Amino acid sequence: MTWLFAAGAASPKRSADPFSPPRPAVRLPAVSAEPAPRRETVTGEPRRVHRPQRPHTRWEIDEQTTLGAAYVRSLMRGQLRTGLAAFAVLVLLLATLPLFFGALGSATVVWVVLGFAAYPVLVLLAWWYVRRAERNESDFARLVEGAEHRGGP
Amino acid sequence: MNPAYAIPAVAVVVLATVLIGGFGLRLSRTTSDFYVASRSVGPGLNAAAISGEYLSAASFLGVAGLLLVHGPDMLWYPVGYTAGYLVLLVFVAAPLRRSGAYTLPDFAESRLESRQVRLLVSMFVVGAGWLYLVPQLQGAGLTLSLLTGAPRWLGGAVVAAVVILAVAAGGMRSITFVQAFQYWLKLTALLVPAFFLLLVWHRDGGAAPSFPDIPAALLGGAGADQPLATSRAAHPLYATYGLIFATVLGTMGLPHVVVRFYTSPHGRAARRTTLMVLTLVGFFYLLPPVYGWLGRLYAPALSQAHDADATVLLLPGLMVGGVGGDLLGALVAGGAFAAFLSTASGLTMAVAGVLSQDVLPSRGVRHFRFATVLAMAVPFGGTILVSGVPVADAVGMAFAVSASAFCPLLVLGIWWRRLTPPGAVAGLLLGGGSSLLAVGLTVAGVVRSGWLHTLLAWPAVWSVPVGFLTMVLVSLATPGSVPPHTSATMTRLHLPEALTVRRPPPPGEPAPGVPPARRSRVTGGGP
Repeated sequence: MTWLFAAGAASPKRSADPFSPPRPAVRLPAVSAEPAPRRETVTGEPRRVHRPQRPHTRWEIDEQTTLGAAYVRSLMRGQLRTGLAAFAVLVLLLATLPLFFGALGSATVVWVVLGFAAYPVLVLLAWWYVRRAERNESDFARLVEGAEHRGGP
Repeated sequence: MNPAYAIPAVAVVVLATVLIGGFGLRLSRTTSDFYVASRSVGPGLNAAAISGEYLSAASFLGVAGLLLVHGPDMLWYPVGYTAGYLVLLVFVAAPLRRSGAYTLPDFAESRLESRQVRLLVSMFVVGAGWLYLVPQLQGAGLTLSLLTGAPRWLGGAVVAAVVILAVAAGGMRSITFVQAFQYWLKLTALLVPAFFLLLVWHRDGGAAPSFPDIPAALLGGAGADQPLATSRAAHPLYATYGLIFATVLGTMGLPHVVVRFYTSPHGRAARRTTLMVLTLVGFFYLLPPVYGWLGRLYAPALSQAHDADATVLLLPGLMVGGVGGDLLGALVAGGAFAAFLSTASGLTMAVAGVLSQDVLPSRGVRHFRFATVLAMAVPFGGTILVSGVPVADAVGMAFAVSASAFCPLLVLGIWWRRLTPPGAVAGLLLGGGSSLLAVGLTVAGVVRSGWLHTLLAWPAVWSVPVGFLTMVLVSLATPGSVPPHTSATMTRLHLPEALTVRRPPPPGEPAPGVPPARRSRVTGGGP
């Protein structure tokens, strides 16, 4: 009986079920963070085009539009600049230290610098890079989401 | 050294490796578990595993031996090995993880969309992996024959058998546990004896902390069978830069290191993992120089003997003596075996992964097991055929080949949109191929002195720029061959996971390509 009841309630007028959300006219993207659109009274011509429900900028990036590519390029440039800064410090140290040691000619200095002092410097440099890179990414996420909240660029 | 203590120590390390591998076997259920540990390894475990895998015989034994024979200039080796991770971190770590590929050939194919590039990269990966495996097996043979007087091939055979068992049985997951365990084992095996050795040094009145010179008479025989060492003396500054180039840029391309990054859950974790690796590896490298320095103070005669590599193994017995010295020596011997086992299993894993995907006809766990045997059999045959290539030299050559072939491919592939498949092929052949040729000529002993010998023995200084330049110029000359989905690939490499709406790939699936629906909308980056 339960089965009959359930089947009877579900089958014939499913499309008219008042509790299911209204089917949108345009196809919604798969993932939507926003609630169903509230009811509005239309009194004239709509003044703006209906935005897609999916966050706008993220959609641009996802769909590989020119605008989305520009966003990704800006992120890449930022990350590359941070990486090159850390790399430049490393190159400066690696390029000058052998010359410096050669000029100095003291085994003790080589010992202290390469045996002990080099490692904390490397770890500090790496730590600085990780912090900057993560900040670049969270800045980028804020930019993308902020643009969404303001209604797109 | 007393074999009554050392042999049980080695046996315990081998047994623990097999047991931890078996523990991993019960955890690894799906194909994805088997290959990449289901991409669920946290930064702490993964960093210990990467470090455990990275610190090979060259680090554990070789650095102290080189310091003993050639002096403090050799400290560039450990510094370069560590700095390599900084370069890896700033240019490669996070994008490599986000590429979602499993091996270097996977990365090359998904970025450049070309089967030829994939095959060429596969060949270089297998070549570099085998080049690196030979000295590991030779180091194991040296250690075991020193401990027991067994023939040289036996140590290599033990390591080969244990590695095949551990890798073929449990795959990546079990290897992750094994490697992490072996990092801490190796650290303990150097840290505890170093503490006692420094106590002895302090009790003896603490000789001047300056670096003592070795009498010239003792140095006579040291470089006889080390061709690279003799060329150092001729042009030390060039040799130092060659060493820095190879180690700093070669780390990112080592096949067993690269494979590890795919097991991180996301790009952010890959970055943090690398930072922790840098810390762990740097901490470890504080110790081998202590042995090299104490070796110069207490056992300068070792530099005259054939095997300066044995300094770390023999020093506890020479300085402490008695049962205490035997016990410390046993601890060091166990750590040395951990070094051979961990690096060899990581390399075997990487080479076998490439072999089973690109060389053997079909994929699957059974074929992977067959590939494991193949990956180990060839270098083992190599150790029997070619004996007497110094450990540190062969490792340095693997770094030079990796730096010349894979560094340009990774850096340009990740950061430069105009890279083309013809450019990549030309760069790999000219950069990687020329360094491989130079290494081969050096080992064969074709040129024995002069600038030409120095240039061939330290190829990275010229072969890395050649690789980069060729890749850039040929890519610029073939603008029509830029892969059609470059823009989508770049987005995937650089966009933080939090912003991608794509669902994660289902377990067991290979690397996710660009979904077909999206391919039609690629704009190519231009208006």
